[in-house]
Amino acid sequence: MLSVRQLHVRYKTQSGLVRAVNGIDLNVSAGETLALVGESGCGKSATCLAIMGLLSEGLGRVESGSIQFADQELVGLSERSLRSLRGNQMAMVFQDTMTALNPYLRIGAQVMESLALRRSVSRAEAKDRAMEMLQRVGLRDAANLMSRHPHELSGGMRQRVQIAMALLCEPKLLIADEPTTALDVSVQSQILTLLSELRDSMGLAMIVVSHDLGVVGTIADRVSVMYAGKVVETGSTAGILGAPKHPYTRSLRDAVPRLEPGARVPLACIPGSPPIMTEPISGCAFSPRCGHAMPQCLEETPPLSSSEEGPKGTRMACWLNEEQRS
Amino acid sequence: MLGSIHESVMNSFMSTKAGGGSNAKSRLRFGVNRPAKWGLTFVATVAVVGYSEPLVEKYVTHFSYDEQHTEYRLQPPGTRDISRDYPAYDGDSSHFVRLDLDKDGVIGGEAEWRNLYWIDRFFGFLFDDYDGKSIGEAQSVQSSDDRLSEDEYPSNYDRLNADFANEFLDDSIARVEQANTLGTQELESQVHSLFDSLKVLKGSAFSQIDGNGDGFLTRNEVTEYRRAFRPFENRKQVLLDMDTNSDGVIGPEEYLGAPKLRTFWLGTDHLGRDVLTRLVYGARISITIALVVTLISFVIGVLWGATAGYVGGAVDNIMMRFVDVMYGLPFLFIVIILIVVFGRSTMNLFIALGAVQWLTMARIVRGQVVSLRERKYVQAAIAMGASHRRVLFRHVLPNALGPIIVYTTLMIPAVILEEAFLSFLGLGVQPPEASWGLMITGGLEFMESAYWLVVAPGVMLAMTLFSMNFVGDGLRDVLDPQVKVD
Repeated sequence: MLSVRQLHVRYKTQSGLVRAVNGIDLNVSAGETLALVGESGCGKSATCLAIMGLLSEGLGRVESGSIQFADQELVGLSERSLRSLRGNQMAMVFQDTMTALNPYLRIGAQVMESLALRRSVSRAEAKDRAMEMLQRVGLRDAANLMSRHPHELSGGMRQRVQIAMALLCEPKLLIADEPTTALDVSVQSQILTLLSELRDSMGLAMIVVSHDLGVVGTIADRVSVMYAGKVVETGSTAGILGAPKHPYTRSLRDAVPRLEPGARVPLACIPGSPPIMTEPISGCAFSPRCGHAMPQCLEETPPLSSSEEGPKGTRMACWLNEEQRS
Repeated sequence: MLGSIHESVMNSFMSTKAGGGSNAKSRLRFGVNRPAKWGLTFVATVAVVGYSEPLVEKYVTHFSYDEQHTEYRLQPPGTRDISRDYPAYDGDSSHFVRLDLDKDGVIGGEAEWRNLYWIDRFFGFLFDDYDGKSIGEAQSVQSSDDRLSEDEYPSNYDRLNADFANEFLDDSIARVEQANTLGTQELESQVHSLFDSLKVLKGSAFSQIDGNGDGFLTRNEVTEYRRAFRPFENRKQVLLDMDTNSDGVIGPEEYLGAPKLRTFWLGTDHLGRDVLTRLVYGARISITIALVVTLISFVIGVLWGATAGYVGGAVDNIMMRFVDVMYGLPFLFIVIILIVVFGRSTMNLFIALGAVQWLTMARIVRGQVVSLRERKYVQAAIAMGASHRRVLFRHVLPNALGPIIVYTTLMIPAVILEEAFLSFLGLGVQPPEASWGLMITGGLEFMESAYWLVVAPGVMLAMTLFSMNFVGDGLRDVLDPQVKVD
């Protein structure tokens, strides 16, 4: 369904050129969920925006690489064709439920917006379909809800509305950018369940961006861990979360706080901070913070290659891996 | 955008009528906001009254716009200094100086007024008495054709003249001696020099008055001639009549132009024009200017600012630098240039004021749009495939409406005052026309003595200002979906 090859994204900022994404490869097929995991600023969102063709809204642009979506090359596609793809073929759910809905519009108008953009759908039909979709995302009393404003809804309801908006035109690809970050835990699981149900029933290809490994474990089939604009480890969810090989993935997993009463385990954290993306990085980007760093790590960039240990299909970019292989 | 404003305003009004549907339950309704409701009512009433002026004239004020009540064309009460309004003073000051017996630069005091009265009487009866209107020696040849022929011209004119002169002299000397303000010698020289100026009428008077030499005196010719004696106009008689307690000063209680329940509700101005009538006409011009100019600058400012803010980058830079440059030029300079280039008319005044007012609006809108376009729902709309125009007008601008509306309502009184300022400089509404601003600036001159000239338009202006602010508040609440009814 979606295949991203050697994608490079650059942002122009005051302090210089930010290399947000440095050659990543992604594959998502229909009915499958890929999770993008990583710290803030590692290029997750930039990747999503590049796929949606929304980079020009900021100051970023795709420098090289290709994005194939349903046998169509998206890089270099005209704004007009992109616009017809958005909403229809691919849709996006945003993180912040407070600001992702226009406070000015009623829910009905908001949900119907994507249909209103398609001239072929009549108003009455759009309304019916919007109500149907609202019910489908688990909102009861949809008729009443249509005339409400976003501020009258709870965070979970708003997120459901967003999902309904995104799915109304039955897209093939859904990108969920931290869909549960702003929600409390009980609502999180409801939303995640909803997303996986809809994925299964509609045959969606889904990309979920998150830094919450719990969320990723619940919903994703495969995980790609990103660091400094690169995929450092990728593989099945079970493999990555269960037995992470890459030092970065391991530290990420260790940084998840445990629910063990009385245990008083000090919270693990990754020392140091992510590299400054305006400067070219030599060697492995994670090496300054890595406990296993070797001289080689500082000089050469490890390739993303399949791992000897661990489940099949897992690949990682680390010189440790290369050593084991040789 | 307009669609959604309309929708929400309509909803609010509808729900007021219907007693509040479940739809609008969460909205503050416009009708609930009392100040806003009354403010709108006030402005609407003023506008309607301003435009239905013929009815007002017929049933309320009974005066037409152009009508000036010359008998009230007076200096305001308490002011003895009529030199400002004195016709002789701005043209030919010699007669003024001559009549100003005590040389204090003021025609005042009983003696001075008295003289004016007599001289005025002398010229007054010339036409009326001899053109077949009433008495006269040559009754047989009188034609009452509004022309004074040689035959009709009084044969005893010189005698009349002499009689008048004697009477005038005696009277003046007697009065001034009585008043004992001048030495007899000084007075005599004054009065004699005045008398000398009257002598021109003797003998050759007819041919002198007959300007075009056709053997007839027309009213125009007499008027022309009288212009040489402009201090002697009718109004001085009125002044005398008004000074009922003969103290040489017309107090407010004696002044006929003061507001009175039975005549002029809001009094008359220094030219004898009814203040209420002018207020009604002024409402038309002031409110029209305020609304039209505000609308012009609203449209230009919102489009300009929204485009700059939404497109961003170099376009934003160029557009906003243009606004900065326009800001740098003095407001008056731009307006004067525009008015000089395009001519002085009310329509051009609209354009000139609108051309200046939109700058601030553009800045406000631009700032709002720059912050709003980064909101997630804007991105969400784009991610849903909405075009930029749709995003701008449906998602960005409606959310910027709060500050826009507040600024718009503040702009209305500002525009009214700017119009007043321009009118004051002679660039705006031209004097026979009335606008509130013009009335205020005109009335300021006489504020100490004729308070009503400033108070009436001032109160109207202030109330309109308040009303528009309330309306703006109410409108913003109605348009903001997050404000709840308690």
